[in-house]
Order: sequence, then C-alpha cells, then structure tokens
Amino acid sequence: MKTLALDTATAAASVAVVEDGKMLGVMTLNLKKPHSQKIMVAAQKLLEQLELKVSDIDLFAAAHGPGSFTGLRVGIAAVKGFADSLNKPAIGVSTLEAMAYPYLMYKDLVCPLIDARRDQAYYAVYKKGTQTEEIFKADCQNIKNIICQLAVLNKKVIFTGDCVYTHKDYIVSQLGENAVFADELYCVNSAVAVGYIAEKRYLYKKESGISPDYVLKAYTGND
Amino acid sequence: MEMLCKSAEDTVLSGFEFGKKLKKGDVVCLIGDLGAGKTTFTKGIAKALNTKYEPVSPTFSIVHDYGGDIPLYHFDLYRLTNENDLMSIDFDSYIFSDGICVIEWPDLALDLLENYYTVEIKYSGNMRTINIKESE
Repeated sequence: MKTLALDTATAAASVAVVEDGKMLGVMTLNLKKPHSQKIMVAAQKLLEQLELKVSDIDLFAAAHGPGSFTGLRVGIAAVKGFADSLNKPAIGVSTLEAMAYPYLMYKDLVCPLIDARRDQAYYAVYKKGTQTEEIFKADCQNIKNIICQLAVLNKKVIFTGDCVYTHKDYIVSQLGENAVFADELYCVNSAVAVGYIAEKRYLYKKESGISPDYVLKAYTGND
Repeated sequence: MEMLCKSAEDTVLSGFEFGKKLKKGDVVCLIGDLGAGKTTFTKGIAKALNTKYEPVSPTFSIVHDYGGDIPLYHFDLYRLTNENDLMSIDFDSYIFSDGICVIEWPDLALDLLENYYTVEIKYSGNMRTINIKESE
C-alpha cells in the first residue's frame, strides 16, 4: 500500500511517499514562500522521481492541524482533490502527533511546539504506551503557561518543533535537566511521519476522513 | 511628521517619500475618511517599493498583494466584523512576513500589532494634511 502524505502546517512544505511502513521518498522545502506555489510541484516531482503515477497511490494523507491557517487549507484541499478525483481514501493526522512520532521510541514525554506568534505556541504532550498516549490535548497557549504545566510534572520532556530554539533558554530556566531538545536539524516538519501514522490508522483502525483542526488561538487576552 | 498636500499627485509623492523609509516587516495603519486619499497615499508607497502592480482599493477583496522585491500587502478591514474574520484571512501570516503591510480601517487589528506607523489623512476642500507617527 502506497501513501502520499503532505505537511504544510508550518513554514516548511513537505511531501512524502510511504509504502507499508517504509519511506520511499520525501521532499521538504523550508522556504518563506506560500505553500500553494510549491506543494503541488513538489508532489509531482517526487512522484516522477519515484516513477509513480498519482493513480498508483492508495491513500492520501495530510497534517490536519494545528498550524498555519492557510497552510492547512492548502494541504487538506490538495489531499481531498487527489482522493476525490481518484476515488481513494483521505485521512488527516495531527500535526503535533506527527512531530512527536520520531521521539516516541523513548520513554520520556514528548512536547512538540508550533509557533503561534505573540509568545504563544500550539502544543500537546505525548507518551509512548501500548498506544501513543496524549497526556495534554492539543491547545494553544502562552509559552509560559505551557512550560509551567510541564514543570509541575517533574519528568523528562523532549521538545521539538519550529519555535523550540526561540524559547530554549526559558524552557531550560524552568525545567533544568528535565528538558531535552531535538536537534535543530530535525525541528523542521516532515511529511514522513504523517504518512506512517496515516497508514497505520487506515490499516489497523479503519479510520479515514479529513477536516481541518485549527485549534483556535486567542488573538487577545493572552498574558 | 506633517505634510501638506494640494493635489492627488502631492499625496502620491508624500507616500513615495514615506515609502522609501519602510523596511521588511513594517506595518502602516492608514486613518482617514472615505475619499481622504488612503489608497492614493498607498500608490506612492508602492512606487517607492517598485511593486509589480499598482494599488487599487482593497475594500472588496480585503487584501491585495502587489508583489515586488519587498512584497507590499494592502488591507482594508472595513468589512471585517471580529477577530475570527482576521483569522480567516490569516492576518498573522502577513504581519509576521518579510513584506510590508499597509492597513486601511485598522481598528480591529490595533491590539494585535506591536510597532506600527500611523498615517492620518485629514482634508478640507482640496487640502490634505498628512500626519505620520510611530507607535510608542
């Protein structure tokens, strides 16, 4: 089974093809250019280089949020377009869960952070169990509130995401040695994890369907 | 800074002079009644930034992107009613971009902006007084 996955939730535009839990290829563009101009071309080029046609794809997936409002709409619209026209299933995956995925092999908590501006971030906290456990549900809050909630747990937390390094000093000041940081190199969103998760959900849980999950941010009233 | 304008050309010219000073990420709020010359002033800014397209009123489409080396985004928030509307135009992606934002009828957005220029255009007869201030 082949899955084409998109992640356009952050500044990076990423497209990947995954087949039965293996990555066939990925293209990630970390530019400050609108995704709408890049993602379809990237998908086309990637498929071309993999010698695949879009009709060879069995499942289409996208990061359904949280993240950039326009980015999410671009990714979801693209996936729906592919799926509907080819009469194939489409599935949405949480952006945060996909970001946490590579770190869930460790026993520690994983906290992906997506920049929501004005010192706010989208976040969730995950833990590996028999299934991936969501300790804190996806939300958007001031970074200080997020870190405060994590400090209380007094557990090791792995941080990843596009704004982790902006807030690193503050996180260390509150969590000390309990804070572990993903290398900056890997803090760019990639669609590979979206593809893996999508495939598993579809195969084992028979889930499908996609709609945006914006996780509304408070424009005002933040402390 | 205050400027006196006797014609539309003067208004364009003052926009041009002001536009030369703008940098990536700057936000400009335009205050003035209908017909005061907000869009005309923006045409001057666009000239200074050498944009690809010439500004026209964004009242209908809410935001215009005129392209150029530093992109110029021209907003008219008159038809928006609340902050959810700002979210649905992805306002943040513009004001935190590498472009310059010029906002007509900016009241709804003022709480969301940190540093910005306020350009107030007042008129009586054919005379316009343009007053430019920096926030804080």
